[in-house]
Amino acid sequence: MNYVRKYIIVDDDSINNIICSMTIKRTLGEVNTKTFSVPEEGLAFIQNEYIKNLQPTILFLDINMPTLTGWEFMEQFEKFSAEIKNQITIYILSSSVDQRDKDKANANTYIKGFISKPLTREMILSVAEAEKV
Amino acid sequence: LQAEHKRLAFHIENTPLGFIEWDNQLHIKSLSKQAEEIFGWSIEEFSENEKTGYNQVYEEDQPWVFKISEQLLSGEVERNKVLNRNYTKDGRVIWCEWFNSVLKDKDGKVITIMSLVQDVTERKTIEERLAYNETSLKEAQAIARVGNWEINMVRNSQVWSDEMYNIFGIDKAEVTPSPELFLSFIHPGDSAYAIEKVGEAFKTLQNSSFDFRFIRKDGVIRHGYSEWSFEFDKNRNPVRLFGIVQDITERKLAEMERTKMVNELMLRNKDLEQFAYIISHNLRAPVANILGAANELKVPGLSAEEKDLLGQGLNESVSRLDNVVKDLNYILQVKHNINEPKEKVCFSELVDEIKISVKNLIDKEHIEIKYDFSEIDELLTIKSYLYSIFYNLISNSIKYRQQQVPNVIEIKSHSEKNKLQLVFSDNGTGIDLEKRGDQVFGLYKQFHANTEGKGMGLFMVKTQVETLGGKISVKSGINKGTEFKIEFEK
Repeated sequence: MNYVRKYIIVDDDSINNIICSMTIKRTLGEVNTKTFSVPEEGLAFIQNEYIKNLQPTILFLDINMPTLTGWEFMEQFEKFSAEIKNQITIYILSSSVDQRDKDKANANTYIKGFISKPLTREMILSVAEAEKV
Repeated sequence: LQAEHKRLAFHIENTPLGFIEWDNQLHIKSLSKQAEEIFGWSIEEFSENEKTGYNQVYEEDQPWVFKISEQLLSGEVERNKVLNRNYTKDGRVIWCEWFNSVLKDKDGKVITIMSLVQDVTERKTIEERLAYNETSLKEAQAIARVGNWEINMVRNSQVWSDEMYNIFGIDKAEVTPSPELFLSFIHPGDSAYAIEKVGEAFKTLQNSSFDFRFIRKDGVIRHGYSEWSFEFDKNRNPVRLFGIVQDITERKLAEMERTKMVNELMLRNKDLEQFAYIISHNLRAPVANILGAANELKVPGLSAEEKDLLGQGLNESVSRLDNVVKDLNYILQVKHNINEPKEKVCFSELVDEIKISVKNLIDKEHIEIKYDFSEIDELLTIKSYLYSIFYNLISNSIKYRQQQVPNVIEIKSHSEKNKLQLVFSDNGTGIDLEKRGDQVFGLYKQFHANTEGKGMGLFMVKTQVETLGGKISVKSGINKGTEFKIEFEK
């Protein structure tokens, strides 16, 4: 069993994206990390790339984004084919500490977990362990 | 003749009326058994009273009773009926009804006075109690603002209590009570409902009630409540309909005011919750970045480039944090600055001022700003707030214009009874209200990627409108333009 080698971060906060990429790389070594500060672009990427090339992926998703919220992103994601959805494991990565957001995440079948920012090395390791393929 | 006399004497002894005969000096001549029972004195005791000067007439009634007696003795009056109070032997005061008549000789000289007397104390007491009850009822109705009405369903007649006329502000003498008269005072807005309610009552014979508005004769609109119940005979036929009408204006207005206040408070509370949520999120986000970057910086063996990147991230997060705190400060200041002096602000001047400040942009992008303040062009308000409201709405319309169409921004004012309406409309990109309607005025809420601004504008507009005691609403659709409507009390 190996760690997943592909990571996607969807968050309008570009500083967060830079720090998260660095932390992932430092924790897991050379893995493929893609970041999207515009969620629509993240959705388009998944749709286009994963039709040709299915690969196990962990996606970190923010909630509060101006054009498309994390919840709206999930509505779009649910429309993807089962093959694509099976490859992508989604974790909410939010600065929110609101219990209502956590409850909403728990209630969603396609969301695996809720992580409060910042994304630490320990958190990355425990996610990677849980999602081994 | 003797037989006649006997029969009459028998008759006198057996009626409930007492019989007393006086001479022309008003000395007692005879006293029937019944009269003795009423007063308790025997004829001897009566004579004794006359001698000692004790008068059996209640003091308060003496002056007028004496006057009437004089009239009888002088022959001026031949018969009369007197109702006065008398004393009894055991010291009680009783009400007596006297029928007196004078007997004259052939020369017209008074010989004797004959009196028939009845103790009517019981009747009098009942009458007094009834009168007292009636007064109490009237007073109670006036205080409670409740009138009652009654329909005799057999004779088809209707009676209203005095308070009914007072409630509608009409003169009792000028009208005839009827269901139609009642309905004629109902406010046109409630009239169909009231007619239906009354019609239904007569059809179903069900006890019922309803609230309604009515217009008093003096034109004042009030709130009323009516309730009624039917009375039936043993064959279940309705014989009587009894009801009340109450003026509940004060209670109703207080209730309406309370509901309005509760709704406003709930809305305010929701806004505050949302505000706290957003602020905590926007404070938490840069803090999380600072924590993340600080953690990374601890790791040994970072390249200069990586250190640089993290340092930059730290810097940006700290200034973001600073900005949120500054925004917060600004927002709280606006909410408290309501003490600024109010002045008359002219809308057309305000828009012209703003047009000059954005002149470069509207010239370059060919944006037309039209206004029509012909209905009303002035408001007593805080100028800086109104300027900021106008400026934010106009600059929003410019920011979110549609490409490839001539852009027009229109501002109009409407004057209503005690309200002033400002309508801002554009033909810009619009907002998807179905999806994000509840967030339009939210702090740090943005609907467009790649535009300047940080989601403060409409939040500030709403805050300032509400601080000035107004309300703002929005109508919009994707590519259908946007219309903001602001309402102020004049």
